[in-house]
Formats: sequence, structure tokens, C-alpha cells
Amino acid sequence: MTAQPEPVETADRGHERRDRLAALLARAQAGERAAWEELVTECTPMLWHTARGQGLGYEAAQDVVQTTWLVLVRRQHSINSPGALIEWLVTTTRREAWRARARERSADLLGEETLDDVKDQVALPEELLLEDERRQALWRAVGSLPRRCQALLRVIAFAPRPHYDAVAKALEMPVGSIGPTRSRCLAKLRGTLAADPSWNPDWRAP
Amino acid sequence: MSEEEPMGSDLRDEFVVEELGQLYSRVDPVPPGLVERITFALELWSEDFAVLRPREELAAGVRGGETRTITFDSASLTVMIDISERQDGTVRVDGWLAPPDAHLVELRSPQGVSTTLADAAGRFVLDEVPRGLVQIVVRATEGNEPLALTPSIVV
Repeated sequence: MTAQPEPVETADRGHERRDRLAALLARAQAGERAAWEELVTECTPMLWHTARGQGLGYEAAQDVVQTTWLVLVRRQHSINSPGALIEWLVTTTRREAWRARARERSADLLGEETLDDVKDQVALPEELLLEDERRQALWRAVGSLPRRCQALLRVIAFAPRPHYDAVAKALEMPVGSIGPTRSRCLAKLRGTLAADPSWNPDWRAP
Repeated sequence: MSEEEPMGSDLRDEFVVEELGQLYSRVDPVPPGLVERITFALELWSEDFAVLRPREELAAGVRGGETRTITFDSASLTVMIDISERQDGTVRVDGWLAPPDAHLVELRSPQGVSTTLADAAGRFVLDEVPRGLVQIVVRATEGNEPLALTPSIVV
């Protein structure tokens, strides 16, 4: 890694995290075990939500996330920036998830276009429903998005901010095809939330 | 962000994304122990191995306990294991390698490694395995780099 430390802007901890990730990657590639542990701790939530967003069950999603890390150990030296790492991790998790799903349904070959038919495995727990009107509004708004937007935003929510584009690249439709993009999904979500009176986040409060 | 977006939409998006992260962390948290299982599976320091992906798992209740059968696949090797409960609380692992070969089979656990040699038919047995986290590692011969390994599983 040759990344120079960048000045940390107080309003943007993203830079700090990017540098941290670059340093972690370099240490991991040098064979430092503690760096691998930190990398796994840091990035596993993003991969968990990638696998679950692809409709995998609780056990299968864990297998897929673990497999992704094992494959990374073999491929680590072809990855030379944090952005490439994030993109590789999310892409591989998604591929492994499709592979696992194809195995589960052995006979029927699934195409990616069937993601819309896959039920999200997640249900909102009762206590959360009762507890917080604003979260309910958010949950409803997310639920009204196209399935592919849901899967994308779910991963974005756990990705380091400087690497949103890397995640989008791993999950979005190929360039040139009509599909959801991060900005379109977020704009749609914002629109739905703005129309919901129970959504009253702090930035709008007087 | 497109240029027609009103001022401040980035900030609002940031807020919504943060809220989403909190919501999903509550609704579908990373399973407890997953990070530890991954870290354990990565401890084996090698870079040239095939990853044996769990393909299917069957469970059957038999007299005296339960038996689980798990099949792991890589491009060149399949490992099937039967895990059965023993009276003393440990488990017995009966396994088969396909294609059959007299490879060295290791069962790694946080407590240590137990090793056995598969016979010419690819069959191997590891008995009195303590319950808990394990990972199967296949080597051509002792001291060689692993040919293949599985993710860690809980037996």
C-alpha cells in the first residue's frame, strides 16, 4: 500500500475509515493475523447483509460468508486497494449466494432476474413494531421499494462510505441496462418517507 | 448524485442510510459467533488450497442419538461426513473422500488437531471428537500444504 495519510476532516470520518482499511489490508497481506481478525470483524456485517439480501436462509448465509473469506485468503494478492477489496467481497458473496441457492433448488436454474420472486427472509420483530414509529415508517418505506433496491441499500448501510461505489458496482445492473442505482433507490426511499407523517427525523425537526 | 438533486440531499441520504443500518442490525443481526468461526477457519496459514463448500446437510434421528450427514464439494474433491453422537457426549465422524485416495485428514478444533489417514477407498474415521467448532483439512501427506479445507462447522 502506498496510500498517504489524508487529513481527517471532522465532518467526514469516511476518510479515516478508508485509510484504516488500506492499512488493514496491507497488514493482512503481510500475513499479520490480528489484521485478518480486524478485517473479518469490520466487513462481515456487510457480507452477512449481502447474503441475506439475496434471500438466503440463516445457516446458508453463514456458510456463504465464511466461504467468501476462505476464497479471499487464496485471492488476496490480486487485490490492491480497499475499494477493490470491498467490491471483490460483495461480488463474491453474491455469487456464492446464487451458487448456494442453485444448489438448494438443484433442478431449477435460477437467473438473477428472479430475485424479485425471492422472499426476503426477514420479518420485523413485534417489539420493534411497537417501540418506534419512525422505524416502522422506515421499514414500510424500504418494503415498498423494488426488491433489488432493497438488497442494494441493505448492503450500502453496512459499507464504508468512501466505498459505496464499489458496493454499487458489485450489486447493480451492468452499465447501460436499466436497473436501480444507489441514487435512484435512495431518492425513491426519500420520497416515500417524506410522504409519511410518522417519519420525522431530527434533521427536519424544528 | 445527479446535479438536479436539491441541496442537502447527500446529507439526508447519509442520515437515512445510517438509520437503515441500525434498523437492519436490529432486525437481522449478524449471528453470534459467526466472526469467531470465520477467524478460526482462517487461522490455517496457507494460500493454495481448494475450498470445500457445504453442499447439503441431512439429519436423521437414530437410536442412541442423531446423525448428521454433510457433503462438501470443491472442483476436484468431495468430502462426505457422518457425524454421530456417542454415549460419552463426544461425536464420531465417519467420512469418505471422492475420488478415493489415501490422503491425510485432519480435524482442527480450538483444542488441537486430530489426524487420520484415509484408506485406499477414501474412508476415514475420527472418533471421540469433542463437541464444538471443527474444520476439516485434507493434505496429500503430512507436512504438505493443505489440498482442501472446509469452513468451520459446529458438531
